[in-house]
Amino acid sequence: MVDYARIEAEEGQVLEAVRDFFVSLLDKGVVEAIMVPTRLPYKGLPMQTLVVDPARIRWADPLAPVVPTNGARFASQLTRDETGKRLALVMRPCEIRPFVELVKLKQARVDNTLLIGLECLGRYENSDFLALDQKDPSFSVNFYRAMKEGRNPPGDGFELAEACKACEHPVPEGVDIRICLIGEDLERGLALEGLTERGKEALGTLGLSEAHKPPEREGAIGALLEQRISFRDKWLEEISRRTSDLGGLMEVLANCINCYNCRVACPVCYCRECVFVTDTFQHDSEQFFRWARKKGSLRMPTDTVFYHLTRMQHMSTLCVGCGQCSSVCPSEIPVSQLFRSIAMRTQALFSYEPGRDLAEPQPLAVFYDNEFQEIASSK
Amino acid sequence: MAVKEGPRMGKGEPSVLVVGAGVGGIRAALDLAEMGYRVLLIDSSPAIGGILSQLDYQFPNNHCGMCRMLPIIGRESASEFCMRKALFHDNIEILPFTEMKAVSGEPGAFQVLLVRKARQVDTERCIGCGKCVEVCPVTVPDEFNLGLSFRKAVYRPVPQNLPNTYLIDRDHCTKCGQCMLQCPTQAIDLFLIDSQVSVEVGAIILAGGSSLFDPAPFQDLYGYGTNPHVVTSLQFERILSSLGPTEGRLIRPADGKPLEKVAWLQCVGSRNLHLGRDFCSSVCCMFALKEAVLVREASLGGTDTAVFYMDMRTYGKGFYRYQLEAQKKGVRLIRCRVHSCVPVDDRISIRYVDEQGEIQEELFDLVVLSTGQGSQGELKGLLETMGVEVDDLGFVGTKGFSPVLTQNPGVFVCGSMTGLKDISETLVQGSAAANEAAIFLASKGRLPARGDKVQEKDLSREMPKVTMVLCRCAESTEPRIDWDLLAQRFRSQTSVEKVIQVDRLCSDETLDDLARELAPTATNRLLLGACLPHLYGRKFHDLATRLGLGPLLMEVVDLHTSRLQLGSDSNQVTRQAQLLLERAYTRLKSVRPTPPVSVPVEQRALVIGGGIGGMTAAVAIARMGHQVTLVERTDKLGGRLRQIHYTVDGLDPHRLLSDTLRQLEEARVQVLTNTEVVETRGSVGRFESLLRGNGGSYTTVKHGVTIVATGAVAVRPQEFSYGKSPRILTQEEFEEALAQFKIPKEQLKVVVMIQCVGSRDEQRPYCSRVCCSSALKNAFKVLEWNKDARIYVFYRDMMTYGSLEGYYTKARSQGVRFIQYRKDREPEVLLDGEIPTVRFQDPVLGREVSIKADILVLSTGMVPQGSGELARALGLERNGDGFFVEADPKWRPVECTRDGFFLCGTAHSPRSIKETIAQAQAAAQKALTVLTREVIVSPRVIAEVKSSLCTLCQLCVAACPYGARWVDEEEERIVVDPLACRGCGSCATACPSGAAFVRGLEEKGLMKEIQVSLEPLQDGVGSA
Repeated sequence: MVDYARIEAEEGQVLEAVRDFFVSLLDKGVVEAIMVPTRLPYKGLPMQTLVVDPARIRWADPLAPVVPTNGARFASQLTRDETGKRLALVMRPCEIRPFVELVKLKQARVDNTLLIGLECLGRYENSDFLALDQKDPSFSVNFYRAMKEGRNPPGDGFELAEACKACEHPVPEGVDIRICLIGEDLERGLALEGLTERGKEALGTLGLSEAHKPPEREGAIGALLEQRISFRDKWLEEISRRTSDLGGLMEVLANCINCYNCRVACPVCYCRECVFVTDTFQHDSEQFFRWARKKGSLRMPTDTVFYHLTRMQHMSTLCVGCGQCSSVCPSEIPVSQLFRSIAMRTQALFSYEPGRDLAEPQPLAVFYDNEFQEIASSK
Repeated sequence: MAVKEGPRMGKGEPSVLVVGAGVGGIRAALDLAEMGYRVLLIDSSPAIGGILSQLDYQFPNNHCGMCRMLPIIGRESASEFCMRKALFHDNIEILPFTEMKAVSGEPGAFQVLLVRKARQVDTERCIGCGKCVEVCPVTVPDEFNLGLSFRKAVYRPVPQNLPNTYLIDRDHCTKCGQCMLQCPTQAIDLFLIDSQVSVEVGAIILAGGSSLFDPAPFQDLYGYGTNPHVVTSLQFERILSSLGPTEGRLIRPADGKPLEKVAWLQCVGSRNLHLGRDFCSSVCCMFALKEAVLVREASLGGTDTAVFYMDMRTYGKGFYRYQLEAQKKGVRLIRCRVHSCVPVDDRISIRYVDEQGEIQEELFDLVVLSTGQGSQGELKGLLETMGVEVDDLGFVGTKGFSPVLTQNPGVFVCGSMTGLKDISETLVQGSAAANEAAIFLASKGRLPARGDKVQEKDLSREMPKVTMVLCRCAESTEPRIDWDLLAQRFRSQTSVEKVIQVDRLCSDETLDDLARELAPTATNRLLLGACLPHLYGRKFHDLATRLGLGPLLMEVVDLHTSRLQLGSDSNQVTRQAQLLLERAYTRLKSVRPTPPVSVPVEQRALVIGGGIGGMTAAVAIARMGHQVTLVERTDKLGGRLRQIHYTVDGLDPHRLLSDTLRQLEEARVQVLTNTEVVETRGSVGRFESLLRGNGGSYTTVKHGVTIVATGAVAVRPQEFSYGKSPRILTQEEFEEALAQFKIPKEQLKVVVMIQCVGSRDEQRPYCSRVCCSSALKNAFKVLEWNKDARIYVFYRDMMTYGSLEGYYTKARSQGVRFIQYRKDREPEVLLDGEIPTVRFQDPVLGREVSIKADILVLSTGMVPQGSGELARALGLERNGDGFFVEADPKWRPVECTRDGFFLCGTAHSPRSIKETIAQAQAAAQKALTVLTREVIVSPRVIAEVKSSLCTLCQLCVAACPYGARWVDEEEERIVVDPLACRGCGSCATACPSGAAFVRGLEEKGLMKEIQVSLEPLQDGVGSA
């Protein structure tokens, strides 16, 4: 049982130390497989990869500041059925939180998983990351160094994804083991924190020894949060202003091409088949003419605002603000900004925070007699 | 115009006459109708619903929930919409504006003479256009708003009724005849006279309700009648109503001044010996609290509310919690006697003495008098000719412990006619009366008719073929619909089979002709364009049934109401008619015809608990010829009844026990003592329970329904030095000792009682209801033995509701001293050896009272039996106090949240023997509405699952309020129990993918209907 352990690294070799940790999880039989962001030799983006051979861990790169696509969906694919396989899942908070929601929705399980959460200082959009990574082979290491020193990360003109700048969850919660980066001197190593029985036992099995938390850690987290919340509030305020009426909303969504990328990228859109591709929305040809007649013309594709409103109604209480929807939008619609501005309010209404606690039932799954009296009461 | 015929009972003569169509009468009628008995329901007023039609909001959720009275199993036999608007049931004939005039014959074969008062407006012709009102020269105060608004001599008695037809007030009509000339449908005949009808029925249920106390004749009563800012509580209810004189705004009706401060004065016309009204109206405390809460909520806390009272009688289930909640919401409760209530400028000054003995004065904008109810004296003479006893106060006396039997074996009574009651108690008694009536009829060989088997065509493979029938009956009036144009537009549609125009669709001949004409055609959907669908719904429903079409395959469109509202443009009304028909046509086309599911009913009841509740329910079911298994945990039947030796009203509980035990035997109830229920599986109609018997042997029993009557036990007090002296007893122990003559007379000189021990505190925030009357009965017993005994009762609020008030009065007149205390200022008990002394700081006297008692009696409350293990085994909910939760505290008081389970006795909440018996009979009656069916047929509008879309996330399972869905682990799909599903749509709302849907309300169909509704109608444009 180990609560907090440090793994040391040669200067600039922190990634190696993390890989060694993963290898020993497999070697010591703590798990049979690890899902971890891994670069393939011929591909620049570290994609979530199911690794069973310890030799393959040498391409793992969970620290690279990029999340090509949200890993919760893959974690769900790997755990949805009962396989009995002991599996470690290495994910960032924006992947773990939707994963927790998917578990509640019976789309994933945690019975045999070792959840390893990585502290996150933000991600770049995929194309930005590829460009930065190409320019500087040590980009990841330099990124953390600059962040620690409070400098602008290398690569002028590139910005972190907006969702990350507004994210109040850099520290993963509800995991078995947390990989601690904030407040750590990454030149010399990083820390592993066991948060559950399962996590502490795993750290013990690996023969790691107890260490002290660096005193500057809390302060560093606090400063980061302050910065992000201040950005978030301005960011959400701006979109709320722009979409305060239907006209504004239609303007923001005007460029939607109904590609449904945002829905595919969304980690909590879990329907087998979206209602928008069922025959409910297969309109008769005649119907389009009738619509056109009503206003004189009909913008195609139709049902775009309807689509976003429906999706908002379905998942706004579960939106974790990972920002993948905005990242994949070919028309540069600020989907994430818009959805978070709504999600903030719907989640506050139910005092619900997605991903906070597995035991916390989703708003639609519970009904309290005394809730929403102001809406339900007599006048 | 022809004089109205007698009742039109299509399927044979009625078995039961229910007199009074308030909620009690409606409950009784529906319960019998659900069993298969034909019922004639009459009311002397022109509308049904009684006083409830004037109350928009009811405690405890401050909504109306009256529709929850409607049947759930077999719900397609009845109306399925707001009951305040209308009610129908296949087995009930409703005759409003009808009075019972004479009764002859024998119990089991009564001849009843009814007088049908002439309404003078033919409801089948009146289309509610209101042209008569415009010309009527007579204006009088409106009864519905209790004189706070005005109406004409031709008027609508209840504004929300459907169909909303008119009526002539004969007392005020001048017979000028203007209305007759104006009426476009010749519906008015001012010279029509009352008609008489004679019916033969087997039994009569009296449900005449109560009368309201009218303070007007008593000029000195707080200025009512002279000061317009003094109103009654029912008038205030109308002020709160959006259909009332102020449209629900919080203003004074007389001058429109906003309400800043409102006062309620309790017990006006109740608990008043001077007025000869020595009873409590039972409902006014909750009524006032509810009104005050509504004001606090509607004003967002801006309006001050104060209730001036003597005792806050929050004795029922959940009442005390509601009181605490009201106080939390800022409702002020002031215990005092009001000295004076006089106008000061345009406000009203109330002077009173507060609990500290100080004189206070406050100004209010409006004063509400909580006017009590009284007996309904109208039937007194007639009842006496029937051998039904009526007491001095005008209430009908019932036999012994029975809540509903009268001295005439064929006549039963329920509701406030037997003493004043709230909604749930009235409903319970309504069901109990239905139960006794059914048992009586069965004993006379009149058994309920078994429901017909459903015969519907299998249409699942056929393309939709809609036949549209257009009724042109009101063609004589402007504006006219262009019927030919309408017919032409629809005729060309691919899914239209036929368009037929008729002149009077509501006539039986037309319907017969249609049935004959359509039978050989391919018609599998019926669209009727008619008038007043609520009035003719049953006839149209019959037509569909004759064509083998289920209820989802027929739509009725009201073409005439909108026509009248739209004005004179013929083009416009034709377009509107087209739109309405298009919408219904679109919906019909998309409906998938699926025949209902039938489930056979296991013809046995399982009753859990062998106290008086369980035994009574078992007997009541067994006497209708059904198998009953009664399970008792201990080794003998009787429960708490064995500890009760006498009652305050002089009845003999021992005799009740021996009578009931004999009845159990006679009715061949299977009794299993030393037996517990381990688990119940299945759903209504087909349960299977595992029983653990003596010595741990297990057996299973199959049953269709379950009655839960597990009772309660007395709290063992922790306070007031209980257990430290043989002179300190609980009320129960005291009664036992008195009954066994264990206390020497010299020890009964000074008896002190403390009420609310272990009740209405933080741990148990509820009133145990029976302790006050127990204290009274034991006080009388002491006085019987020693008339000089000094008895002191420390109480918080004397809960002597209804006629119990008389015993409270009697006790005071016999010298029993009642001393009020507050929870935060309790009396203190000191022991000198074993002699207790009770010390109390009296705030009114301003000094300490100290009483040395021979005996100190603690009135302890009740707690439910068991720790909740049984509730888990049965899948039932318990409330925070451990009592079982009913489906609805007002409207479904004996049904559990899980279908097929019914509750009675103290497992539900504390109550007296008589109240337990009423509830047990009500529970039995509910059970019988299931058991009298051979099969339960699922309704058509229920949820289904498209498994191809389902991700098995089970949100729908969590969202289902009825436990009607679960995962079939083997098949990996969600299953819906068609009998438990109510079609509420919560599952469809929770499901994001459309996998969960409600049949008949599929997304695609609804979307299309919405599209059609939003579209601009253009001449010559076809439909979707």
